[in-house]
This record gives sequence, C-alpha cells and structure tokens, in this order.
Amino acid sequence: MAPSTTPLPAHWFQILLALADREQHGLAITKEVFERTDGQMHLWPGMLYGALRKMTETGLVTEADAPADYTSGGGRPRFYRITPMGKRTCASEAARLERFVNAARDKRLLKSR
Amino acid sequence: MGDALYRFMLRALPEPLRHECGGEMEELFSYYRRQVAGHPLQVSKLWFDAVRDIAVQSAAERSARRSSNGPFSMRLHMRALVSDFQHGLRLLRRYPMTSVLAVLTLALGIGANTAIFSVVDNVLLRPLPYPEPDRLAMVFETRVREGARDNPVSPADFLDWRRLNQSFATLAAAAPTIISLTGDGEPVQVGAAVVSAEFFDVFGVRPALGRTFQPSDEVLGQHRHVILSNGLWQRRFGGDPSVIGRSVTLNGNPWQVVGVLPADYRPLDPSLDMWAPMVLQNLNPPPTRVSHSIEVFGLLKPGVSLAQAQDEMTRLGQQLEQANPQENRGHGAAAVSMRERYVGPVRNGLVALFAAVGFVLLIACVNVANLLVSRALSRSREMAVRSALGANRRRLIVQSLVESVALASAGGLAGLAVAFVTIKALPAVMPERVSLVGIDSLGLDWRVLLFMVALSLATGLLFGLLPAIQASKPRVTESLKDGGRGVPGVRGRLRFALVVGEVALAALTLMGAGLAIRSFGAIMSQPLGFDPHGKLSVTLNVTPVRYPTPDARRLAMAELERRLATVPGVRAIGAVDILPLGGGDSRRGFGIEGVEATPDNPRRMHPRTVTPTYFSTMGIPIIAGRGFTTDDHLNALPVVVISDASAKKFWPNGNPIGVRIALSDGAYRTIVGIAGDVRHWGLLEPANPMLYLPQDQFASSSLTFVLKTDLDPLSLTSAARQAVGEFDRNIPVGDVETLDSIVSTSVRSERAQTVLMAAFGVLALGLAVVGIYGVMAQLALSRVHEIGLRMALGARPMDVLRQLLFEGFVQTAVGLVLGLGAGLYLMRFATALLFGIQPSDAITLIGVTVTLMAAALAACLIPARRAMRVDPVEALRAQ
Repeated sequence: MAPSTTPLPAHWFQILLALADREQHGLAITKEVFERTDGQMHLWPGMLYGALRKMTETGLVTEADAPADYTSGGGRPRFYRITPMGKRTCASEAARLERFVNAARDKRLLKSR
Repeated sequence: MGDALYRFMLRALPEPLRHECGGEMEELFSYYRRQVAGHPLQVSKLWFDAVRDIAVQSAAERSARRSSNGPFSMRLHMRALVSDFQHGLRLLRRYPMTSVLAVLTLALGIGANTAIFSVVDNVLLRPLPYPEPDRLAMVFETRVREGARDNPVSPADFLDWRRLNQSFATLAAAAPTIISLTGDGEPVQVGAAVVSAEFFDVFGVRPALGRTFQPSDEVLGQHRHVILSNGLWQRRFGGDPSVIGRSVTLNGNPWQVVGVLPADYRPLDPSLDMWAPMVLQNLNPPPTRVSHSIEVFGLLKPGVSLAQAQDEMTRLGQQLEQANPQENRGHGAAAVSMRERYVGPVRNGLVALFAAVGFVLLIACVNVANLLVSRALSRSREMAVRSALGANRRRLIVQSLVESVALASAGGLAGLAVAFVTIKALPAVMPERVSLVGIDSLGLDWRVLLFMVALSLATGLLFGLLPAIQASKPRVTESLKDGGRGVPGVRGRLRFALVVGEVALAALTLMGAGLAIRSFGAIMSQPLGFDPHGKLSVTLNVTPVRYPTPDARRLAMAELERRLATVPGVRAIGAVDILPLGGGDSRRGFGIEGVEATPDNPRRMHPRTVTPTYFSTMGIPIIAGRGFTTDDHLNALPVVVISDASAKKFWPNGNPIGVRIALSDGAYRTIVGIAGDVRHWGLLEPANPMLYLPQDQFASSSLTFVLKTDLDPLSLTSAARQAVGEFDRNIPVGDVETLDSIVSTSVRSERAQTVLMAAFGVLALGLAVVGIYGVMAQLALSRVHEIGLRMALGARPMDVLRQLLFEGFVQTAVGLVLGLGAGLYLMRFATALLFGIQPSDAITLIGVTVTLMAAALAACLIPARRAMRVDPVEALRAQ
C-alpha cells in the first residue's frame, strides 16, 4: 500500500488503531488510547464523538450493535466498527509514520531491532 | 460531586447530541477523574479541558446546525459585537467631556465596590487558612442562668471532654499567657499560648523544624519543651537550624526548643510567638474544675456534622454537671463553628458597607445613564443613518448596549487604580481581628479581578439599557430632516423617576453614614472611668525564679515603682496587675461575712491588685470611704476597695463600707472604700463589678505601671527602660504604650466602620448632587423656548426661578421620603450594628433631610438662576 501524503489527524489515527482489531464502544476506545499513549492523549468526549461522527460520514467507521455477551453497567453505549476503507486509511498512515521511524533508525537515533 | 457538575455542564450541548452521547461522556469524564485524582494541577487542567471541550463541541454543533438553517453565523455575530465594542471606545474620544465625566464616575463606583469586595471575599467568602476548615469548631462552657454562652473551660472539664467525646477526631486546649524570655539578648516578654499535645493537629500544622507536641509533653516534669514561631526564630535566633535542642530561659527556668513552626502558619491570635505544653498529667492536686481559663478547639471526625457534635457536647455537659454537682452546677457545653466564631461578629458590618458602596454605584449608574441619554440624542442623526441602512431595532439596542459596556470597561479599568489605592489603604483602617484571614495580604487577586470584570459588565448593561432603548426609537425622518435639534435629556416622568431614585439612594446611604457616626459618637462618649491622657503604661514581670518569695516580689515591685517615679517628667505613678482594655480578666467568687452563700447565684467580682497611688494616677474617683495608703501593708488589717458596680449589685440597699468579705483563700478582708467604675472591657461593654486589693497585701508578680506626665508620654520610654535595667537587667520590659492609643485601638473596628460609611455617604451625596445638577440643567435648557415665551408674556424672572426650584424641591422631597422609609425598614435587620441609638434616631433623620435638601437645592439653583436670565427675545428667535 503506497503511503499517503496527507497526514491523518493524530486522534483519528489513534481511534482507527483502537478499532483495527475489534469493535469497541467509546469509553473503551478512550481507555485504550489513553494507555497506549501513556496518558498523553486525552480523548475528550466532545472530540471523540465529533471525530467518530465525521469518520462515520466519511466512511471510515460505522456503528455496530453491541456484541451479544456485552453487559453494561447502565446506559447503552454505542459500538463502532472500522470499515475496510478505514483499515486502508489507517494502514496507510502507519506506513507514513514508519518512514519517519526508519529514517530515525538510519541516523542511529533509535536502536535497530 | 464533580461528576454531577460535569453532568450539569453537559446541558450546554444541544439536546440531540447530549441525548446520543451524554451518558458515555459522563463515564469518560469519571474515568479521567479517577486517573488524575490527588494531583491538583492535573485535576484543574482536566476541568479546564472539559469545559473547553464542551464549549467547542456545542459551538461546533450549533454552527453546523445553523449553517444548515440560514445565513446566521456565530463568527459573523461575534465580529459584529467586537466592532461595536471598538466603536464604543472611539465614542469616548469623540465626546471627551461626557466621557471623562462618565469614566471618572464609574471608576469611583466600580473601584470602591471592588475594594470592599476584596475584604468581603477575604473575610466572609474564603475558608479559614487551615486544612479542612469546615470541620473546625470551638467548644465553650455555657452558663444558661447567667446568660453566658462562650465561657472559658476548666482543665478538668476539658480532660473529660477529650476522653469521652465521640464527635471530634481531635480536641485540644489552649490558654494565652506571657512568657519572659531572657538570655540570648534583650529580655523580652513574648506572647505565648499553653496548649495541649494535639493542638497543632487540629489546625493541620506541620513543623518547619523539629516536632510539635506529643502526649508525654503534658506530663509534669517532662513539659519544659517549647515551640517557636517562624518569626521569633528569625528575629531572635537568626533563623539558625541548630536552635532545635537548644536551651532557652523562660520565666527564669531552662526550657528546650523542640520545634519551629512554618512561616505560612497563621495562628488565630497573630501576636503569639511561643507555644508551651499544657501540664495536665501527673499533677498533684489534679487539674482544677473550678478555675476556667481554657479555650477548646476541635476537628470534627469525617462524616460528623456540627449539629451532631453540638448534641453530643450538650449531653456531655449534662453528664458532667450531674457527676460534679458542686463545681459544675448550671454549666453546660456548646460547640460552634470556628469560622462563625471569628467571622460572625464582623459579618453584619461588612454587609452594611458592601450595601452602602453598592448604592453609590447605583447612583453613579443613574448619572452615567443620564449623560448617555443626552449624548445619544446628539447622535440621533448617526442612529437615523444606521436605521436607514437596515439595522433593525434589536440590532440598534444591542449596539448601544455594547457601546455602554465599552464605556463601563474603560471605567472599570480606571477603577482598577481606585481599587488598588483603596485596598492598600484599608489595612490601616481595619481592625486586627480580621487579619486572621489574611487582611494583611489583601490584594487584587484573580477572584477580585473577576468580580471587577463582572461588575463592569453588569454596570454597563444596567446604565446602558435606558440610552439603548431611547436611541433605538424610530425618529428617523425627524432627525434626518432638521439639524438634529431635539430636546436633550430625558423626558418628564422618566426624569422625575431618575432624580427621585438618586435622591432616595443618597438618602439611604447618608442615613447609614449618619447612624454610624452617631453610634460611634455614643460609644466615644461613654465614660471610661479613668483619664487616659498623658499616661504611659509599662508592663513588668518579676519571675518567681529570681524572686522566689512573695516578699521578694513585693520588694522588687516597690523598688521598681520608686525608680520609675524618679524618671524625669513623671508626675505620678501607680500600678495595676491587669490594665483596663488589656483584654485579660479574671473573676473570683467571694463570701460576705455573716451572709449565707447562695450556690445558685454565686457572688463574683473581678479582682485587681493595685498600688496605693493607682486611683489618683488614673483619675479614678473614690466616691465613698477611702482608697489604699502605705499604711495598708502586710501586717496591717487586710483591706479591699470595691467598685461602684459591686456596691450597687451586692449591697443595693445598704452600705458596704466596713463589711468583711472572704475570697477563696478564706481570709477575711474589710471593705474600706468604693471607687468609681472603670470600663475594663471597652467602651461597648458595661462596667464589671470590681474588687481592688492592695499590692502590699497581695503581691502580684506582674504589674503594669502607669506613668502620668505632662510631656509626650512616649518620650519617657527609654528613660523608663533604663530605670528598670538599672534595677535588674533581666527584667523584660513588655508593652510600652500610651493609654490614649490603647483606648483608640479598642474601638478600631467601630472607627473603621464609621469612617468608611461616612466616606460612602459623602460620595453618594456628591454623585447625587452632580446628577441632580445635570438633570436640572438639561431641564432648564429644554425649556428655554417656553421660558422665553412666558417672560415675554409678563412673567417675572423670580417666578421662573421659583418654579424650577419648586420642581427640584418636590423631586428631592419624594426621594427623601422613599429613601428614609427604606432605610428605616432595612435598619431593623441591623440594629446590632448600632450602639446607644435607634434606627429612627431623630438627629440623624433631621441631619440627612437638611443636608440633602440643601445640597439638592444648591444643585438646582445654578441652572435655575441661569434660566432666570434668559432673554425672551433671544429665546423666541432661536425657534
């Protein structure tokens, strides 16, 4: 997949990454992103749901039903699922970032694996 | 609680979004909150982000919906407002005269309000400067039958309370004292407190060096450990960290320094520099239940309310009363919030001040509204053009309001300077008691600034309303046609209402000022009972260590008095153990020979030990019998002198002279004289029944010497210190003050209140006068044509003058009646603020009426006289 040239907004990328392997609801996405970024990225509700709505409009994610075995502590959370186009976009962005990481490795800023 | 707040904030979101995502947004917020709990910086950043997120989201949502609805756009709207604001600022330059006047008026009003708010915020709104301020309480002994609700506590009662109570996590005791610190420099007397071991835990104080007290410090023999204040540590010990463990000489004995308090600790009594443990254990005889000298402080257990603690203490009080029928008869216990105790007494006064300064601002608003209306009418052309260009009425009103807000902002900015100056000047005027909550650190902090911004906004909207509505009235064609020569000023009924309103507010404020002045006058005219002029007080202590026997102390004090009498300039000298207005006091029961004791109604007097020349030096009259002489020495008949209040209270029908009474030591003493009353607790309190004992027969180790002089009393200070030093270098000289300044300090709080109320009264009067002048001038101007006509038809100038003055009189009278009526009604809630006078004080009412009438009439006179001089021909020609 050719790396894309226009960067994806950072929080969009993180959300897509969270959804890449399974459907999740908003709270779970936030927690995963929070932990993965070591508490650096606070996905605020407004920002999160705004982003999710825009991504739904552009077809990167779609709403899904809660899985059968999901029990909530009250409230009816909405689940989101990544679409194939979303997967492609996310992979493309990851590839773009990989280029930078490789450059850092070449300059010996990062230890090579 | 934070989650509930967030849920409330979510209401700012549009309904559909909130319905969809609200629940999850709450959960998310909860999750984040748990992550950052305990890190105040991150918590505040969290809240900041949350608010911003909601604001951005709701704005985005609304604009998204709007853009699908119509041409309205938030951003365009904001830009229009900003441009209106800038236009408003430009108007300031275009009409310099009215602008300067308006800005000055507003600066005074907003600045004064901000300054007073800073005090209100500091004293009334902020919590006490300790951790967990809402859980702090004080416990007092109550004696319902004697009407006492905040009596000090006995050590034995305190120990029982501490042991038995369930409501307080910590209960601690404190008693004030003075300690002589010698060695390491000049001997000094240090304000100190004797406290129980857990005292500092109540206030959450951690030592800067060393430790605070522990239970073993309360044991007799292990108690000679002292804690220093940070200030004393810096001043006396040079901030040397090795002071811990050092030995210091207190009252002649060696004590060990075990701790230094942090610099930011604010004790309830700001004069304290040392803390020593209260000896409560291993005492033989055990701690007394009879002598009451302790204040009790407590920290409530989490989850226990003050009401629950109050109930428990009441029960405990009853329990102890039953267990100790002799000592505790009629004694109960009561818990009060510490904040209420310290803030309660000043609350009413501060609220009155805040109200007064608020009225001043309202008067200022009326004046500025008036100014703007006359200005608006000269802008009617500009308005007409705008209108013709398509601005609808609502738009014109909004524009006008924003311009007013711009003016108010300018006024607020100028008011910043006024507020700053006032705030810096306030501590000089305010009493020390409120310095607990930081009045010495009064300043323009962000809360005060926020208040000022909000006040400026509200002020702008308030005074801007009237001109806005006026300006938007459709008179397009009129204004565009002629030169815009309309009738300046506000029309008939509205003008009447504005003037009446101003006068009423001024009357109200002046009434408050008048009552305050009369009240203070009543206080100051209370007879003190002694003459404070030309007197210097010098407090000296002879410690039992260097003067171990009563004889030694007696001789030392006599020698000190003799030496001080030789100081050049001293005309007379006397001494007493507790000076009037000194703040301390004590009370002793006594028995009358041959008269039954009445346990339900104990006889008590307030004892004082004095030297024979005390009465004459202080100017206290002996109204019957005699005072003390040098013949009343140790081997002579034991005698006492009582005060007039004592005589009236205990011997209302008989003559107490010659009667023998016994104090708790059992020895009988003969009453030989009655002295005039002295107001020991200040001009506001009645005189207590006093009992005077001669120093020669009742040697006190602490005396305050009063030196009477015709010179400036303070000039005797160094000579007095030298005289003491020549006798014994190690006797610390305590407070040296003139009696005049002691008296003055005792009424500092009332004086501050009076000065400020008077200042606001004057300000209100001045603003009202300016306002009335402005309105009447406009009125006269608007009637030029009519006046000219009437004069041409034969009316005399005097008639014109009289008519205008009459109108002014009517407006003022109505305003006066309204204002004074409102004042009488409001003062019913504040009678506690007044001393010795009623709200309906005739002199105040008459004074306010006369002042306001005279001022208003003067304000009307100038425009009226100008109207008189109208040349009818000119007036008619200018048609």
